[in-house]
Amino acid sequence: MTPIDASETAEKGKRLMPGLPSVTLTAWQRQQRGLTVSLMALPTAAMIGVFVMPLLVLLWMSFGGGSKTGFSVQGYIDLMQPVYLKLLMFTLQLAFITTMLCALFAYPLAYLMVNVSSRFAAWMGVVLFITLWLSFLARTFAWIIILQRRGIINNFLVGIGVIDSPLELVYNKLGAYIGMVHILLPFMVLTLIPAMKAIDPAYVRAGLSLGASPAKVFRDIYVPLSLPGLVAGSMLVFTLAFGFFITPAILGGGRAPTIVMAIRDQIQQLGNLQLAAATSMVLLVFCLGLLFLYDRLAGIDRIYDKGGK
Amino acid sequence: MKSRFGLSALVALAMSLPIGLHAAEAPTEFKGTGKLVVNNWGGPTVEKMHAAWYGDFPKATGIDVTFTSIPDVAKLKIMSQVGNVEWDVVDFEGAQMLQAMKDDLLEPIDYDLMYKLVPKDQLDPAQMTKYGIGSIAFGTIMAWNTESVGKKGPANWTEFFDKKAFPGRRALYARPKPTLEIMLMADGVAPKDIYPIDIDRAFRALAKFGPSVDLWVEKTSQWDVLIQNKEVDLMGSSLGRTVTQIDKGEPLAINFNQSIMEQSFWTIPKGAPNVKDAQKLVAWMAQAEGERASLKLFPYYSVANKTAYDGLPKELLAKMPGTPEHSANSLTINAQWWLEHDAEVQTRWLSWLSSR
Repeated sequence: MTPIDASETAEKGKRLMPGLPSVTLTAWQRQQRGLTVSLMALPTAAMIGVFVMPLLVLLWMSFGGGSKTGFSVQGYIDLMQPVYLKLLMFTLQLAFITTMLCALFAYPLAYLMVNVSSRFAAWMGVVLFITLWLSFLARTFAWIIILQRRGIINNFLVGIGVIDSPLELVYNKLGAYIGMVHILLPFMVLTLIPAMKAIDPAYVRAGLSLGASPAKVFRDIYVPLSLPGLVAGSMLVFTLAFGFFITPAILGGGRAPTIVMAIRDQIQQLGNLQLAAATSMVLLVFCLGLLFLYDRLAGIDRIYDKGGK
Repeated sequence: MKSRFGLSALVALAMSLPIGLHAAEAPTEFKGTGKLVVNNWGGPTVEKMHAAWYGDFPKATGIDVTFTSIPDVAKLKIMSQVGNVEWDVVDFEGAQMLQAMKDDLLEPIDYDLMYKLVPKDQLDPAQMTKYGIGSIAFGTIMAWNTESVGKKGPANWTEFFDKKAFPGRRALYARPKPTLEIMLMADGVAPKDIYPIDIDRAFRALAKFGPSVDLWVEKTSQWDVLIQNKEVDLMGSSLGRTVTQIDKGEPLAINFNQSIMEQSFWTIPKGAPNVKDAQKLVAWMAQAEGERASLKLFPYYSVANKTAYDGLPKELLAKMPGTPEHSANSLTINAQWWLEHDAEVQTRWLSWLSSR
């Protein structure tokens, strides 16, 4: 093996063996390097095969790859219709509000799970996990049973005489939000927990012993330290909510049409794979743009810095 | 997509059927050794359905049959692109079949082979196309809750939307097909004059009648839930699902006037692993006995073999949409029209749906 360019190895050398000069590689270094490369080979191949390749295929299809009509930008031209913008805006709104609501409900839940006795926390964890195991469709239909016109809530409220006629709790946007928040809440809680666990209680004690009020300690110490979990959780929930389909379709009763429904129709009704691929690409770019913006505002790198340590 | 066979009540009916229909040995040209994969709409009673259709095809011919779901043209297109078609026989809706034909994905049906097994004059020419022969039809009918609406329900789609005469909540499919047809009929167009659909008029009618629809239904399986919980009072629902719920004792009445039928077809994908044996199975399924058994299971009066109706009990025929008095004023979906206009309609439909 020839000596490797110093500038390239310097960075890696520092990480592998800090303090060693790395102009020429010793046999041991070379072996170490070989090991690193061979260990990295499988994850890299998996990354490319499972994530990068499908995306490239999608990009290729969005320009008419594999279709009979040949290459064109027709898919993107077809997307210029105002209906797609409308659907996109609604989907964004749905995903954004769902994320906010999830954060609002998940934060106290996660706080409780981190700070109460571990047995109780374990039980809460089991309950959360069980809801994750149930299928989306089953949970969606379960919400119908609870929320519908003659459902549990309406029967109870009418029965005790609080209301005269049933409330419209489902088959509208409200129903879609309830279902989505319920399904996505565990993801937020489970991302918040490690971030909260990583917070050293000494910080909180120090703040309190120095005379800060509990509210101030919570606001100025606890919340900022738990932010990486909140950032990661909101990204996860937002991305999942953005691609949600069956829950808003059923619980929304036709009043919560998302852009994913349009993609479904493009594939199943119209058989227009190019248009569907183009829509997906636009969504992807849009999501990446949002993540970039989010990074500037909240700092995604915090997740790696503090979370899960 | 709609699943047609969520009809658990009919399992009971199925059990009472004598299955094992083709006791005779198959003619030599029907013998084989391969395995066929049939793709259809799935659901809980699909095994009974297949037993009725194929009978003892595997035993008589030596060709094994398994099944998967759900028919999807886009999937077939991709399978064909990568040269790995997994299905031998597919139960496509009319519009799906035409879409598959447009992309040159289908193999012509071997009618000569079929005639060796089934006399030509038994088959309904209206259901025989170059690339597919009628399997069943999917029906959409108007139904209402007899407790909240009354014994006498709407006689046509115009009355269906009359909130004064029939107060209550309404549900329709959240899909332009057959909603546009329903809207036009509500607007006073006779079933025979629906096609070609005047899209502008249909959307004007949708703007007028659409707001009185309380619930747009995404999945066919939702009908069971909606009916059992009395969530809606009037609906343009799946015939099969509704009849099943009536048989279970739900207080519902249906009306075949201006009902909508969509024909489905047995097709064979081009490049299927076992085209030769697939032709044998499609021919086999056109026999009267199997079709009669499947009619008893599911009241879709639209199979390809006309003699399948012979000897069916009167009360069963009364449930079927295709009897002369029922079919006189019903509408059959024009698959060709939908193939040509689906893209345009779909965009306008989504635009309407998202602007509320």
